[in-house]
Amino acid sequence: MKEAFLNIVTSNQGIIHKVCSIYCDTSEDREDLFQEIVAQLWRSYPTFRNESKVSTWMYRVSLNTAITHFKKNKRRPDKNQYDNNLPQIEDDRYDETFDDQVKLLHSAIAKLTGIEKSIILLYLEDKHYEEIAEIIGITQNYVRVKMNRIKGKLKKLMGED
Amino acid sequence: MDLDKLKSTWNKISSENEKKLQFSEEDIQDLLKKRTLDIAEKIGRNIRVGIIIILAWVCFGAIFEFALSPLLDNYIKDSLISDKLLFWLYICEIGSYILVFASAILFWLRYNKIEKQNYSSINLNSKLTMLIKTLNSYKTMFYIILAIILLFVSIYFSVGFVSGIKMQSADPGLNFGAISIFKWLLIASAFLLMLGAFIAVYYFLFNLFFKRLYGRYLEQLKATLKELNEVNSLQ
Repeated sequence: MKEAFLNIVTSNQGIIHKVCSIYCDTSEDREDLFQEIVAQLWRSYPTFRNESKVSTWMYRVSLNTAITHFKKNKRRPDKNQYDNNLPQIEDDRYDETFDDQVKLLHSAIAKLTGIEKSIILLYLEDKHYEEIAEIIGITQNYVRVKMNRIKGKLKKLMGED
Repeated sequence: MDLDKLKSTWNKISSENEKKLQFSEEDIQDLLKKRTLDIAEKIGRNIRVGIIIILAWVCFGAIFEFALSPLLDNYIKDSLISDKLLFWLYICEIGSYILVFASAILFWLRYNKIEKQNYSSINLNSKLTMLIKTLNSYKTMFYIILAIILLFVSIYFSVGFVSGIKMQSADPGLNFGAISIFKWLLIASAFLLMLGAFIAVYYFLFNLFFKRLYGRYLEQLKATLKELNEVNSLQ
């Protein structure tokens, strides 16, 4: 059972990385959350009976863990630390505009609530409303309404009133 | 930046991250081996440690009361506290041990029930409800124990204060009958002030400890559950 589990998690680890990157500001927090998600996936693996897609199950457990994750009281990361955690682009491919966009994206997403972050992540991953509703455990109607609100909020946060 | 641009930026970041962060099966297995406790498990561990501390406290109290106190009484010939009062103090002390221990055990049983019912659930609403219930009952237990300790401490404090006055009355130069009502009121106010300050410091420290530990987290969970439950108002 463990072998099958490791195989599934290793080949789908991108899902966990994406969840960690959207919910955490620092690499230390990301490592903590990654570890906790893997542990929760292992805990819930016996109840996973292939009734839903592997990705749906992984997104569901990962997002639930991220939303309810207990962060130890630490000092807020300073701006430099935040910037250091942005993806590193090799010098010859360095694109200043892209770097600004990444900063803008991170700072806007950081201002969303836990549930809003999960909805926007699934939207960015091109998931349909039906699948988003299934993963988060809410109705499609709620996803639609919430998505419109998030879009408005993001536009405002990114300076497009 | 419009939402399409947002998507393309996100895809670019994701593909960069995917190249950088790749764990092997062995790495994942290592992570599972050295995994730390999650919040519900931490509360479970805290309560187990709490029960051990309470048991140690009860043992220490019992040793002190039944083994050391009789020895000390041999040296303090003129006991300032009457046997009757001493008996009631014993009852209070034993009662406080039993109450503190019982509330910890009750919480432990409740915690196990909640955990068994909901922990394996991967439904966000159930998970949030389970965590809020656990933290709320942990908080309740915390405050019940605090109230018991404060009550017990107040009784001992009062007995100590009265014994002090009794000791002063043993001084032949003092005539308690000559003390005016105003001075007695002053003494009573000073006593209440000291007791109040003592309780306030205890309460403040306990409250601060809980708030620092789980207070902010509990508020976050409640806000998330409230947001999730907005669905009812949208349908």
